[in-house]
Amino acid sequence: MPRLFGAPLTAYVPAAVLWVLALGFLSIGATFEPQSRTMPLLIGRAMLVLATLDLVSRAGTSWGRALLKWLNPAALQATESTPDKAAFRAELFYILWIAVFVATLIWLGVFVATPLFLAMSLNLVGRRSLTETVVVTLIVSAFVWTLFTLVLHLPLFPGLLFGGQW
Amino acid sequence: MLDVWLSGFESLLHVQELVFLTVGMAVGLIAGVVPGLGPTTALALLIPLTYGMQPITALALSAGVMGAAPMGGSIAAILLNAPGAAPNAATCLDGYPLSQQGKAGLAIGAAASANSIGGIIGTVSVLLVLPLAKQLILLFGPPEFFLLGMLGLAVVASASRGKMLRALVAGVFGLMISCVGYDQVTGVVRYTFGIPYLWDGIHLVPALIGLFAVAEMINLWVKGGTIAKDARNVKITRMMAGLIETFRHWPTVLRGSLIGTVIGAIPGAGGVVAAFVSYSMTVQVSKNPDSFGKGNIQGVIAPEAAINAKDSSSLIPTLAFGIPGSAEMAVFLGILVLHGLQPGPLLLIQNQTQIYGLIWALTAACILASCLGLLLTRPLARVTLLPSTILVPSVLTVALIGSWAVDQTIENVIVTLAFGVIGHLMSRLDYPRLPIVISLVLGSTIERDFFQSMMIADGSWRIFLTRPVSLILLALVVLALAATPGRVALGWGSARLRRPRKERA
Amino acid sequence: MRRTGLMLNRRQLIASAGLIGAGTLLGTRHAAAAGFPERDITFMIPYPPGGAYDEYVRAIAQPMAKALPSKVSVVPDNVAGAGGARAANILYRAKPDGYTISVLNAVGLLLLKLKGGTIGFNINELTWIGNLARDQYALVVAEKSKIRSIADLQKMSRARPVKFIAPGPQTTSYAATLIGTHLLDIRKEVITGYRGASASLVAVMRGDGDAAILTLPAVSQMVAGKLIRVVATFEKTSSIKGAEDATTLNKPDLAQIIELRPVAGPAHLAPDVTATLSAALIKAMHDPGVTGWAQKAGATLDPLSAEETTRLMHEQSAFIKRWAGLLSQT
Repeated sequence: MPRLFGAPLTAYVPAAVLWVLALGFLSIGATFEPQSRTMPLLIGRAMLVLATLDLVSRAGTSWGRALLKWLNPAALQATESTPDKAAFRAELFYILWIAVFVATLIWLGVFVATPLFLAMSLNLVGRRSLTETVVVTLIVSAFVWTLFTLVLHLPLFPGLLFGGQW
Repeated sequence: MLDVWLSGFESLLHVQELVFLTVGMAVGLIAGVVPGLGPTTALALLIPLTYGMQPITALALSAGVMGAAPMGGSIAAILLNAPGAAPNAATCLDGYPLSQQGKAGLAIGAAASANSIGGIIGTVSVLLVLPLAKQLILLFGPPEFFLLGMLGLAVVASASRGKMLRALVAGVFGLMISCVGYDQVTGVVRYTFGIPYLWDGIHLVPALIGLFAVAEMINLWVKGGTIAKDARNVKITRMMAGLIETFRHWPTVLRGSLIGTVIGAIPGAGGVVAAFVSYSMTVQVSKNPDSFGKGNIQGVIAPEAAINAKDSSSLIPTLAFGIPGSAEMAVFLGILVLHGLQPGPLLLIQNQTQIYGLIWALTAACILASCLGLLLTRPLARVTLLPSTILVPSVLTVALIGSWAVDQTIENVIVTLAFGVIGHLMSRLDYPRLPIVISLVLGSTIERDFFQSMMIADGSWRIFLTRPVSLILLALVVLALAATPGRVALGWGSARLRRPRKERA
Repeated sequence: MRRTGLMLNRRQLIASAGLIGAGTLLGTRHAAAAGFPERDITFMIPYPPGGAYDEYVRAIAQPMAKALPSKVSVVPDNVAGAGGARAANILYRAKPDGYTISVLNAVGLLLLKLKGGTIGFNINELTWIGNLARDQYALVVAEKSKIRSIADLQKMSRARPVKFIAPGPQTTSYAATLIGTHLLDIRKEVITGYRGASASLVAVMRGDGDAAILTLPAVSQMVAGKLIRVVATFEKTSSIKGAEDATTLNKPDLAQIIELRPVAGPAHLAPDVTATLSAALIKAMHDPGVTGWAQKAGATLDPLSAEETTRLMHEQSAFIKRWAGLLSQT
């Protein structure tokens, strides 16, 4: 892993992302009318300053550590560790899996997406038995349907493909 | 005065009113438990049920929902890190870690008792203050609201001990997000990229469901196992210990209740502000502030007391002037008008019995819901023993559908997912989530109140110094900001004095 | 004094009665032929539950359902977002079969379009079905204020801009403030962003500003409670004793500044379906339950036929267009 100022490059990523975000925020904010842009510019500049301090405090040098000690001493206890690739892959997979559920909810609606997501999550992803999968899927789907449709009379989202609207 | 209070109480003692109070309570509890539903949606969906009802019956039903929902929200926050309603996000901070330690019963017991006591203190305050409502509300204008918002930010920033830089980053990030949408002062639409959904800004409840519930479910999935780290330690029977803890920490309860009462009475401040300010102040005054966020029972008691106290006092601006302090109060206002009770100064004169009946109903619902919550603790706490492979998809399903249900807008689900990822990253990268919540809530109102103050004062900053309430709030802001460096300096000084002379030299 | 109940003159009463009769006949005949309505009708409300629009729709929903030729429900549906534009856009895209209608903040949408907002169509393309209310505006000050007349305000404005309190810049009250002060030659500064009429009135009472221009129903409670005083109304003849009006001020254009709550369906709605819905809406607004609610709530009812609403909406569009330059400024 390449290093910069005594810390791995990956250590700087969060602060760098915030820095770029602040820059984008300021660029767009500058296009608003004068009164409307006052607060966004103030906030954007504050983020630039804080992100810069965050960046610097991540350096493994003496001045970086000193800044960290003053502004964020809790991070001093964190030890540099090798990134857990397996955990990272698992997180990424599950976030994408939830995104697939969200997409299914939007396009196919609650009635289709709910049992589909539950069944696949339990059986395929979670490797639960077929019995457990069926029971849990039925219980949760029934709960959702009973609560929203029967009790609260709130028609569940039918999905964009079946007449739902943005 | 006493006879009016009693007549209000008597108006509830009829079968019909008691039945509908119970129905409202049941609905409120369920709505509170399901992330995204909350009292606002529950009230809105019950409006048709109130057609043809006597006003006092409709008020009893509404009070049941409003009084019980916070308890439902607390249960979800403690067991699943999923805030049932926005204010319950503060309960997640220490309630969920307690669940992880197998102390769900303790946390729910403490939440229930803090809920009840906070509700009682809020009621007593309202009963005493309501006749003075007009004068009190007129004391708070844009300069005071601005400073109240700044106080909220200052308290939260200074409570993030040891993580000030990252707390400030999180807070400012929340302020950036709060800039999205329609500017209430100039009418300019900002950072929406042409997306109509973003016109109203990032919707708060879907964002909180993502930040807490979804983020935690991702975490739980990756780690595996159960919520309760050691199933052997799960002590469902510790509810009574939770009740006792509340009484043991009576200053925390009192402080939280008073904060909730004061902030609830200020239109626009809302339950989130009350809960988080109460939490943050408790952290600040604690002798062991580093224990917060890791399962400190006071971290549950403080916000819970504030939330229920706020419920009663938020009636003050709603009833006195028709100014709802929250979405929930806005819906409740609609119910009032539908039943011929027009909020305003005349309401408090012409409909005293009904209004005091409402206040009693709210208190009764709060206490009864706490009792019901305690009864349900044993079965509910078993959720913490469910394997993650079953629990995670189930919670995600309900949370995402709940997010849609907030206002039946499908884009909410995308917001929840996005904030779920953000919340997960913040947790992994050690950025506290508390400041982002308070910034999201306060950001746009701080901006609006600041510009209104400048317009009122023709651009002069002296407006913040010449008004008595503003001056007090300004002093509190300065104190809150100075507290942490002051304490650090004092701690450094006293540590230096304690070292042997040889070392000091 | 409270402006309440059904605000009808003799001509409107006769027209409404005739319409109810004709509409019932027409509705029965055409509905019998076409079968409309065969299922529940969704009545959209462009704001969250609890607001004024919400109250009106929920009050008339059941009586309207009863007045329809078939046994169906009229289901209120809050579709909030984008300042009312979301509901309007959904309505515009909906199938023109009569099963989706909406109350609209028409003037608010006209203002939104003026400022380049999120309306992708001309709102007069929609099919106007009827109107729920028509409210006129009043210029109010705090009870303890030294301002007694418009002349006082004009005099004050020569020394310094008069501070007017207003809700957000997308609201009709804000537009009324800009147009009203212009017509009355009052140099003003508008302090905006207050959350609704009640918050604006409290701001006036507190002294944040000197005055406000809000609808008469919105100010009625505070006036009755002697916390706010009406200096002038924008009516042709003031309904408030002692207050000036458009006639005494010699500014007839003030009476054109109104807040409407029209009900619309998608474009190209069949005439018989429009007639059925229109008749049901008018009948509902005569329901004793609805008039009783309006009386107690201080709400005004203004049942108009589809044709009258269409004409009124075109007049309003022309009026707003006339003031486009002024309203585009913030």
